[in-house]
Amino acid sequence: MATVTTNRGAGFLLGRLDVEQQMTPEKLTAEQRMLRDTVRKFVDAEILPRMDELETLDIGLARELLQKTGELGLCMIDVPEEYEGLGLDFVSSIQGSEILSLGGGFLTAFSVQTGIGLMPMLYFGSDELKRKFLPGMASVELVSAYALTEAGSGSDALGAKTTADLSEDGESWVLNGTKQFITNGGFADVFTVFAQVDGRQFTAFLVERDTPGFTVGPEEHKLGIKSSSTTSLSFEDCRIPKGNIIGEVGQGGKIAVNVLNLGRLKLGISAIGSAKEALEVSVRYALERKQFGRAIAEFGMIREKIAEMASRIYAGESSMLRTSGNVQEAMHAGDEAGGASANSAMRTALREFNVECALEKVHGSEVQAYCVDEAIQIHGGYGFIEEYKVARTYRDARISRIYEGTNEINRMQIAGDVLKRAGKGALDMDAALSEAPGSEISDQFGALCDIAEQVDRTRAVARGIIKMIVEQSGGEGAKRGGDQELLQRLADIIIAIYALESAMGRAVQARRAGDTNADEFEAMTRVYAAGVAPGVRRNARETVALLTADGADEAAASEIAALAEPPAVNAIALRRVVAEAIIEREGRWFDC
Amino acid sequence: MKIVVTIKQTFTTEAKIAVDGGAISDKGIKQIVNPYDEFAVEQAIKIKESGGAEEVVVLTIGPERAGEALRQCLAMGADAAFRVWDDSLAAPGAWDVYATVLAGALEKMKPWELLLAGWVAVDDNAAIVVQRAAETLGIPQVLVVNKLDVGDGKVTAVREMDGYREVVEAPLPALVTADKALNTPRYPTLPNIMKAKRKPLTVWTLEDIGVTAGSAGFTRTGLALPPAKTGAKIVEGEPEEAAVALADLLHTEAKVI
Ligand SMILES: Cc1cc2nc3c(=O)[nH]c(=O)nc-3n(C[C@H](O)[C@H](O)[C@H](O)COP(=O)(O)OP(=O)(O)OC[C@H]3O[C@@H](n4cnc5c(N)ncnc54)[C@H](O)[C@@H]3O)c2cc1C
Repeated sequence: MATVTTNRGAGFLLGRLDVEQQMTPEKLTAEQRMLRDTVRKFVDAEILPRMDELETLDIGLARELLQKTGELGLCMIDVPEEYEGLGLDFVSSIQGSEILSLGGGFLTAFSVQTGIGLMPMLYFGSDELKRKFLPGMASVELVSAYALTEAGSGSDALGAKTTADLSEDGESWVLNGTKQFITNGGFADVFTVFAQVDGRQFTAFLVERDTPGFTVGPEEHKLGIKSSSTTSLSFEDCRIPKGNIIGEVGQGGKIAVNVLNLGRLKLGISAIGSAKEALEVSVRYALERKQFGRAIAEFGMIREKIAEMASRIYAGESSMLRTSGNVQEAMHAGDEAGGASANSAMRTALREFNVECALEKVHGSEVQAYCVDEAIQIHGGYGFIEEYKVARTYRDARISRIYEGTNEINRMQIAGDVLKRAGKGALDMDAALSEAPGSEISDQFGALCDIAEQVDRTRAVARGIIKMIVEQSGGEGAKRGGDQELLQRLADIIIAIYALESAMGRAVQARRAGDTNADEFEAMTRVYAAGVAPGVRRNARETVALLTADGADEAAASEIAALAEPPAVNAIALRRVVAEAIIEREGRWFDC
Repeated sequence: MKIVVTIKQTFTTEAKIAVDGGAISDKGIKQIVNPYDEFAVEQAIKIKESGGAEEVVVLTIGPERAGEALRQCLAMGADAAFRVWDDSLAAPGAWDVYATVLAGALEKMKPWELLLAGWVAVDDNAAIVVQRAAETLGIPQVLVVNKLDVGDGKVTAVREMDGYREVVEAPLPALVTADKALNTPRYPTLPNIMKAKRKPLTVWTLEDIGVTAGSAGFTRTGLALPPAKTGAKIVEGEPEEAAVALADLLHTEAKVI
């Protein structure tokens, strides 16, 4: 099988990864590495020492620190120079998202400011609006918020009830309704608010804080990310200038969805950042804590947790960078297009990778969930005590699986979108199962060609299932798309393919480049591969069982089941190798 | 006035150090600007910002990767950077050769009035190279300084001594080395990181600075980690009993009293 160009949306289901093209942390530029250092120093010097105050929701302090991220230039990265930004690449813009995760709830405030709070204006605002507001948003003189959710519409975001009507004189929009759970609500200056025009045309607007008829509700008391502000907003005959519409009437759904794509990717990256922290803190603790006369880091069960945490983080990080690199390339192509078409090309780029963005959100947040949970376990009773850092990390992590689209909603997006593309013929699944695993594979993947075979087989499993579902749905993918249990399983198989392939590609690249971490990367790839295989098997078998009960071809089904059989590996020995390496470096990540 | 700051790229002190084949292994090691040199760079930029200097230039001896350390100084606010390298300099521990090279580069960079550096590098803790270079150049040096004023053709520096402080004046040009109470180094902002990309970074060979490598006056014969600390003992119990037990241990086990 020849290597096909797989850097287009969901392209990883079509063929093998092009290892050289894959973006990896090792390919960061000197400037990007310096940026990481700056953010890290900022976190250490300004955020962590004031965490206690931040946790009591000291809004003045949160605002002050957010503005300092503005002074550092972190919120200007995505903003073009003509609007007083820096106009840098997307991979630069994710560095802050990763490292500020150490700041817990502060990250949430920052993520809204640089992400969903900024992007509607950035990619869809009129030139006039952008001139007026973007420079302030980039420098953080203006704190931003994004108001989509309502009490009656969370996951069903487009079902919002807030209305916007043109005033009688035609000069303003009049907003009525209530928004729920809005991050930065307590201190934001500008809000992107989604409302229905004429009761059914979903549209985005920009509302300034001091607008009459607009009020901000009290702070919510939360389980975690306590240092972030979350409030309701209410609009009572709230009049805003006619020009404060973002995009066009009826474009709101598109804006909400596209913006969430990048938000999801950045959330995934932040989640991995927090997981790394959990790992490092845990390894250090395990080295210090003695029981039965030995450091608990010597015990096999603790070591296995450490190996598993590290391998999942490694796979997560590898896939985040791969997706970010692809998104960046697509955006760059959008930039090249120039002028007004640049924006539309940019939007196309955002849409193109919606499967990957949803996948990163789910995978990143679940790697984080696993790591913060094991971090508490490694700390034993001390992990349950607030004095130890991991307790907060644990509480702060829980929201990742809920906001920016719950993981259920994102799984539906992953599988649903793939099925839709396959149904329309945009993803050609016809070669499914006929792929010949093994051809030319050693040239491409060197020592990891057995892993490449596992990826190939898992890919064939997904393709076989997709084909079956599309066939049973009469070509559209829509009918069985209603079977959520199938979608969930298919999504999990797709995530496994992408993350494992990314982990493998990075290790292959490192080996070719003579990177001193290549051994560790290979070992972690193998551990990750061993870890995902049983899940793929179960998901595949349960899926084909349902599909064959409903009439799918039994021979094809057993072929899928056979491909999903996990390879025989000595997983315990593999994890021991990884644990040794991670403990040796005292849990510090392989930072570039 | 022009200020030259000499810096060294070193590994972080947090890093777990391993010796491999007679050298520090760079596996899993992050390279940074020697923290004491950061104080020197910060001080130079501050002097410039307050109108006390027109130009801040940084200088290092190091292989290509040391360019990243220079870029960081440029991003902090230095105006230009110079890196001297020759493969013969890779030999470890040749401090006297390094001092000669540094003096050669500083000679070529003249005129400058103030030479700043960190008082020590955290990797080898030698505190010797720039000091020897200053000696070669025949300029006064004030070392391990906590407070610095520059003006009227002289430096006034405060040195924190054991129980008292010393105020030293020296005419320019002079070398001043920085201790950590001198200031809090800034971290570069992103716009400045991007600007640093366009600032000049010049690479010199030994020929460029008119120095012949020469042989080292002394060589390093080996490099080893300090032996692992062996079991410390904590004497527990009531103070009176503990004191007796401690005295006993010092006498019978440690044999120091
Ligand atoms: C701290 C915090 C900050 C937030 N910040 C913002 C913000 O800044 N801006 C903003 O607009 N929103 C924000 N939100 C809202 C957040 O995005 C929503 O809470 C989230 O989308 C889920 O909506 P919901 O709470 O109404 O849950 P529901 O939609 O009621 O979901 C409840 C459960 O049902 C599941 N479910 C729902 N629909 C389906 C379905 N079709 N199939 C299968 N399962 C389904 C969900 O996955 C979930 O498990 C924030 C929320 C929190 C808690």
